[in-house]
Amino acid sequence: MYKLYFSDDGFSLIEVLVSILIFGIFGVIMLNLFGSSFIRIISSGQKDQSVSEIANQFEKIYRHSSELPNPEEEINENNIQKWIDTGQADIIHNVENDEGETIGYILKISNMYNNKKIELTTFIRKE
Amino acid sequence: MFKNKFNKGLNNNDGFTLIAVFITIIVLVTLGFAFITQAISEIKRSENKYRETQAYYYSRSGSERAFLEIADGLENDAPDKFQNFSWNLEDNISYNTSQYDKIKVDLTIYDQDDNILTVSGLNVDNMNQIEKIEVNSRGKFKDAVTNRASYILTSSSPNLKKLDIYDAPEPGNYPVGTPTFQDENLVKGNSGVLDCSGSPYEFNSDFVAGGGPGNSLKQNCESFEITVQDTISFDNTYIKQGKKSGDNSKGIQIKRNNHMRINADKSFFHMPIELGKDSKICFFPSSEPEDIEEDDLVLYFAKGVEYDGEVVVQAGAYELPEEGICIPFDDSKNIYDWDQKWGIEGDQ
Repeated sequence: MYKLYFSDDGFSLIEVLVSILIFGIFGVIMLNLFGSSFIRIISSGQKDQSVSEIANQFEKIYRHSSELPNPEEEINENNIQKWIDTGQADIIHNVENDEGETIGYILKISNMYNNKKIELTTFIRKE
Repeated sequence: MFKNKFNKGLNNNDGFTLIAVFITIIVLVTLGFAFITQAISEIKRSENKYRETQAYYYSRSGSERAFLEIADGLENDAPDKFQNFSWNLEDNISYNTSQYDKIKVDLTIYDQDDNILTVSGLNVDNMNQIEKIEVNSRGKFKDAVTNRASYILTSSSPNLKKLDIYDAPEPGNYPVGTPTFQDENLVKGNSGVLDCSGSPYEFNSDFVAGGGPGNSLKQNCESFEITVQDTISFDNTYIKQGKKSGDNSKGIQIKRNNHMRINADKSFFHMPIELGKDSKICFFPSSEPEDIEEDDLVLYFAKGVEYDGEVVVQAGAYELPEEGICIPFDDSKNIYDWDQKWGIEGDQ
């Protein structure tokens, strides 16, 4: 090794070929790593945005439910879908009091980001 | 010297590509690790934000549900509704707070003097003492992610704050030249019956004296309103000394369905006030809000106020609220009119 290292005989061609091989293998691995990391970072940002958008929609619905402009605009899936700008709203089930009267709804809003689905759930008062 | 070494290295016949590649790979791997670390931390951060947001809406759901429970409790005089509870959004709420992990709600109930009322001590008779309710709701989503939605509900129905120490001026101790009801013809002759035909009455004088010697004041008409610059004093020296044989004086009587409005910063009643059913007496400051200073607004009832035969305000001095107040007080049990203040001070 010592002799090889201090020898005047060059073996640059072999070195270059081996280097290209090693660099190629590592290059593919690193490219994949960089690519997937980049996608995940972007995807995390999109997830953040989706969560914030759903939270904004919940706030809009909370406002609407407390300040209904007229009694006919009751809380139902169609009206909720009209009030929100983004996402898909679904009423999972009604919440009833001890007398069996509906007092509110369990509402789920789902939103898409990077071909993935994210959803949040909350309770909305009927009145 | 450095230039020579560099030229020597550049013109060296020995190959160093492999070493250069290794160094480059080390650099790339280091960068790769940094990039992966950043990606992982971004993933964790966005997942945490998702969990915290969901936890917040679970806790918000608990506080919204608590609002309905409180409204139900106040409306139906049901003290058992003011209990801590847990909930999973699917089944009904449980008053066992350890039953569900998803949502846990604590309620703290206060009376007018900020004393805490316990649920066990709460009953139908003392429920009207509830003045403020603190709702503290926690949500949990996945592992160890909790969040709080807190608010204070305060009865917006006005209440009189008693002044512990107050020296009301002696009855009859009026400044010279003070207009009186009798002199200004606000009462019909010596009968003590208020004349509403000229209402609303307005006086530029600082001090106005109501009442009349030996007679009570009676309001038989629907509306009587008087405005003074500062102070009005209702004084009947005869009543102050106690009823005498043959005297039927009763203080101020506002008959059924009639309303009296007094616009004055200070009102002193040295005689009792008796309100008939569905009648009321209202007090509003006469000064503009920006001119009002501390201790400027006072209501003084030497004999208290009765409504339909029941004492609704005990004798004493009270602070007149800047927004005014009517007696009897409005129904305070409608929670939808209560102030809802989000975010308890000092809470995160």
